[in-house]
Amino acid sequence: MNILLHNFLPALHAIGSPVTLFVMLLGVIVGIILGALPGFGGAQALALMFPFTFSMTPVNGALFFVAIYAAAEYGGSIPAILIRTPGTTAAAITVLDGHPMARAGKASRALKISLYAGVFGSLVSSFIFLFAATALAWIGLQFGPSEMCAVGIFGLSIIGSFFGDNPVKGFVATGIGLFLAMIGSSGFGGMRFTFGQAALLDGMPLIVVIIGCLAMPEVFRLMSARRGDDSDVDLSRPVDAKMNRVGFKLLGKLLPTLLRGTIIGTVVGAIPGPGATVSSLLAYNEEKRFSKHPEKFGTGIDEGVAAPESANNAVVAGSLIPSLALGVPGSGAIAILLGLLISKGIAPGPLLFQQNGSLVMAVFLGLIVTAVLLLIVGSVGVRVFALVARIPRRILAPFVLMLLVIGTYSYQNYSAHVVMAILLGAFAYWLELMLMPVVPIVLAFVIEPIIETNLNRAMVIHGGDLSFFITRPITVVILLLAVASLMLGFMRARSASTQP
Amino acid sequence: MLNLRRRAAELATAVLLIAAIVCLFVDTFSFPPSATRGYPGAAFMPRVVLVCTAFVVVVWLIRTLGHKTKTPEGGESFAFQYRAYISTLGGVLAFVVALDWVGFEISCFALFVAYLVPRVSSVWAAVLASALATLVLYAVFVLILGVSLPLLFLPEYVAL
Repeated sequence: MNILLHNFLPALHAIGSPVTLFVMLLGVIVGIILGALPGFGGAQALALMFPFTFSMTPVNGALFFVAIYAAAEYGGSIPAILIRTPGTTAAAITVLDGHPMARAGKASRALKISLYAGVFGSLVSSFIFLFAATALAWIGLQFGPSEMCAVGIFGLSIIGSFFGDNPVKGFVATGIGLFLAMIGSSGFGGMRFTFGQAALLDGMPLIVVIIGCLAMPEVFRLMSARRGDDSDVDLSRPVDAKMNRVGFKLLGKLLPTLLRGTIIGTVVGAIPGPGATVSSLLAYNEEKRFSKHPEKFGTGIDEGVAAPESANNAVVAGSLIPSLALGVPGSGAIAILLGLLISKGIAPGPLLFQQNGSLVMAVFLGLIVTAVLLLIVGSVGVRVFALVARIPRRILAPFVLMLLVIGTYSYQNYSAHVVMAILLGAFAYWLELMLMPVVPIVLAFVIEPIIETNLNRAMVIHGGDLSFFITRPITVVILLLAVASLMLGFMRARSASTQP
Repeated sequence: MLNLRRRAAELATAVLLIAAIVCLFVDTFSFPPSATRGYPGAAFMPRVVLVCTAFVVVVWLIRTLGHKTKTPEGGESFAFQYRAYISTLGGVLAFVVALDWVGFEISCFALFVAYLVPRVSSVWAAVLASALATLVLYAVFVLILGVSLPLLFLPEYVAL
């Protein structure tokens, strides 16, 4: 801590230079644009921009990457809100309430809440990063395979929050998601459910499942839209400024939501593995649990956007904690950031804070400056982005479809992914017509590998003895939380069904 | 547009899902066994998931069967825009096939034209919008982001 404060002035001097500020502004703009493109998450954006860092100093390179990563997490929410197409995997949860808000003529309000929540998450998590980096890094390292398996089981237990009013169909969707995650290499030797298709050997990428299950059904709906569709926003009607205003009063009301989301995002970010998607899911679920009106979630409420957005932006600072303090990358994007530092001759790890304290301090200050730049760029952009919601749906349809098709293709330059996405989309659209929730498919897809891989690892470590489920304290606590979460869900469902 | 009875559609979907689950369960017997005795093999988790999913699908089937057609849920129908559904699915699959044959430029432009002509009042406006959209996609994904799309002629005229 003292080492960091000692480096405050040199770091401030470095970050205050016009070149550094320009690099960060560029990073924010690039991050928002790439984050908004389907198929380009934070990791892909950083990988694309890696060559541009070759001529940068270590501080500028690190700040450029931090700006891109943070802005991409915000950028992903823009298409999620406007066209029900999450730009990044973490924005999949934002779709639930963000898109209904846009459909109700409150696109600008949803975008502003997403922006302010993201900025709040970035700022507060940056301070947590400064004051609690060492402690959180230690907690993160206590999570071995058995704890991660328990985290996965806990994640599975909270999917029930996304079932809506028909739990049976929600369980069916969860089963479908778990099945999709098992396609490809098993991790135990041998292939599963590939049916001799080379395209399935590597399984289905998460981005393909997200685009297929969340974005493609919306494309099918858009393609079905006719002239004068009543779901279009009335172009002759002026935008209701009052309805779209986000003032201090509303932000004050959302403060507890933002704080909860930020804390969840920072802690989840500090644990190597789960990442921004799991943090958004947890934050949304907890917000629903805290809310006096949980039944309103999914219909387009402010808290449903604020919670996941504050969490997935807080993950950026959170994931920097184990990365810089211990050299353990918490996500693909952070692994690329570490790669940049290593290429510049800086070794992340416990000694980084002593040997390159000014760099760590610059990253901390950079997170704050990035949040401010994000606020400025995002505020200007919201006005432009919100116009998309006013385009008639039948005209918008082909453009969204092609954006998704090319975005999916560009993920790995592979046509088979486009075929997977459209087939999955057609299936998911049919399931939605059957009133089956499709979000559990995506969530189960994210969680299955966490459970299976870590169960296998834990069993190997413990010699096939399953007693680790009851002997390791953190594992036990997480499993108890999972049981409590399930029971709470059942009690809530029962009380809801008995109410008139 | 087809007006489908929800009950019938749900029954058909549930039956198809059960058939798929049975086929997948049979397929799990072709997976390699665990390398070490006592440890879960490749088929362990799939079987657990498939059995649990089959159970809930059967519950869904029974509940749907229990709904009489006279009840609001059982007798409810929904509109299925099958033409838009098939044209979307077919259009994308045709695009994927055409991508390798005629390149990104022609396949992308053709798909845009096919979808935009029925949607906008002027054919020329649709053609112009298609050409512009193709150019924008080319500029963003190929020129700026370096995505390796199969290209026919655009790099000869538009390159960085």
